[in-house]
Amino acid sequence: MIKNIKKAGGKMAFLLPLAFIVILFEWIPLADMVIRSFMDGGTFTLDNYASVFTKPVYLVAMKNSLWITLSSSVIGLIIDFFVGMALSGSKGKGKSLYLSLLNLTSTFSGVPLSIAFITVLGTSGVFVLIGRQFGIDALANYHLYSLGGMFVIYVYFQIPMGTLLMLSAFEKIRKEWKESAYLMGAGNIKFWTHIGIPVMMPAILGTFNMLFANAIASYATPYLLVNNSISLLSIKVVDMFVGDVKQRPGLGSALAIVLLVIVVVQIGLTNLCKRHFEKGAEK
Amino acid sequence: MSFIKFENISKSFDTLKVLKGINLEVKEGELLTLLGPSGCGKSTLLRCLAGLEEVGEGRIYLDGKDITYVDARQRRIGMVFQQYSLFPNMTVRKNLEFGLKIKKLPKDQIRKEVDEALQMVGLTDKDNAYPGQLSGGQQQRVALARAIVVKPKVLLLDEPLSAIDAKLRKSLQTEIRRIQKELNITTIFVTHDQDEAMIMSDRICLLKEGKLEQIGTPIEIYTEPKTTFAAGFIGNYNVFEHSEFEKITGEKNVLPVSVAIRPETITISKEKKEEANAYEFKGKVVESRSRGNVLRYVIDVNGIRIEADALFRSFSIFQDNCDVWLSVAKHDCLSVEREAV
Repeated sequence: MIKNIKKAGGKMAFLLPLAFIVILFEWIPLADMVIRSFMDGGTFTLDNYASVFTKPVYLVAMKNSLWITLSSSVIGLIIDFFVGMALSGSKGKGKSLYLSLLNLTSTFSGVPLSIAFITVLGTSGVFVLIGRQFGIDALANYHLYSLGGMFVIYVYFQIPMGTLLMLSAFEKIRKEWKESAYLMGAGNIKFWTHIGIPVMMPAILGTFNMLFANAIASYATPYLLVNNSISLLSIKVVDMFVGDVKQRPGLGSALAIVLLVIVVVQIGLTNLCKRHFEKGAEK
Repeated sequence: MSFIKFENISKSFDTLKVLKGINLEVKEGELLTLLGPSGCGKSTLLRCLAGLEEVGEGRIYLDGKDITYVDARQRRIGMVFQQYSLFPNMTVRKNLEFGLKIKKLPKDQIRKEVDEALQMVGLTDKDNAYPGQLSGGQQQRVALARAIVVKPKVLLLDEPLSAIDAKLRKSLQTEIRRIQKELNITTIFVTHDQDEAMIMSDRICLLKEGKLEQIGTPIEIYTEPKTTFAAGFIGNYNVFEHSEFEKITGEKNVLPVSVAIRPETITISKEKKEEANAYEFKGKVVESRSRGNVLRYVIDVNGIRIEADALFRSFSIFQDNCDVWLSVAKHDCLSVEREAV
């Protein structure tokens, strides 16, 4: 038994560097942030949280962040689902080319992505000019520097990563399930609603978690496009630490903790749903 | 009158011709096995009947109706696949209910039909289990129950036992045959295992490279193979060119065609038996292999290898390099066609 413990201990030793990094760069800053969120000028206070939940500027930031995150994640997920479905059913060079493109675009985010969108859909963007030239109002009047305008960018950066995640879930759908259902008289819709989607649901929810966290924590893209003209939680957090006028690390920490809680609650809720769908998962 | 009729069926995948003009009839209530090596087209033929593959040329008739271009959902065909066909998100009961719900049967009837099907496959206690909680054998029994619960006109079994261990496989072979007879359901069974085909079938249809090689009852196929391929595939026959057979027997022009001899029809002894209407020849034991109650000897006769079986008894054990006499009745030396290579 002692031998076994020693053996296990030996293996665990390889995890020490990772544990060290997690403690140093995640747990200590988190603990510091939690403490700071209850401090103001060296004294304990609940004012930071009171401000977050009472001042309209922060409530609007929360509302905007939740709206753009939820809507872009849901729309992104729907697009990812159908692109993943189409990709899983295709073969050959076209598929590998598309996968390479997805891999490439999944790393194309932040400032370069914002600049690309400004070039295409900004005030003097290519498509906006084309819209003006040919009288296409939807393009001519496109306002990228708004919440609705940014929504397109958010959906865009959700697609490559979400599709790649969804594709692996589609690979798990067996041809035999489709054929069995078909022979029993079920069409495509019946198959996907009764078998395909329920089987994929844990993966769909897992993908949703990733998209949600990806969107709510997004900073560089909205900062470059809207800066402070549209209030978002991620921008507000950074403002409190590096603000030009006054730095308020206590309030910034409280906002960051709220952002963290939103993500944790969302992951908790989706994991509850996941557990329901995982009941029948193959062992 | 035939219940299922394949008329000149051909099918290609890109440039590869998988089925080459198959003509085959299946009687109502019989269990016909499509037997052949991998890639001979047996599963493709089955899938054409199910409507899961489009037929290239030819026609398929079921119960007197042309179903060649009928949607698979309308054909009323149940199918059990090799493995993993159960819906993993549904319990055993829900898997069975699925097809009946599509048919919009009343709830009470669905419950009754599912109970009966579960009872038939002996899995009444597993109705709330998920497929992932069942063994491979249990999963295939559920798949069988799911295929028959909808009362199909035809049951198709596409190598349903190939992923199951040998012992369980034997009991499932018996169980499938029992259920098939009980329901008197027309069944087409696909396998590459000749023993399985022999045990389960009313008739066996032997396929080779997309063509029908021979069809008949298991005994007909086993005792009267028409070609060297059938002889080699079904009964582990010794197949000899006529020149080889002359070399073995030492007689000229004994049979002008290829000759097939089943290993168990050859008698091995220390002494010459001088039997009438039999060929007798001397050889040397090269090796012996135990096959349970049977010993299979490989014997060299004038440079040609012959396989012969003997029951595992003390007086029939011969050591390697030992000289033996082989005797085979003339009527057990079958003339077979050697197919063009």
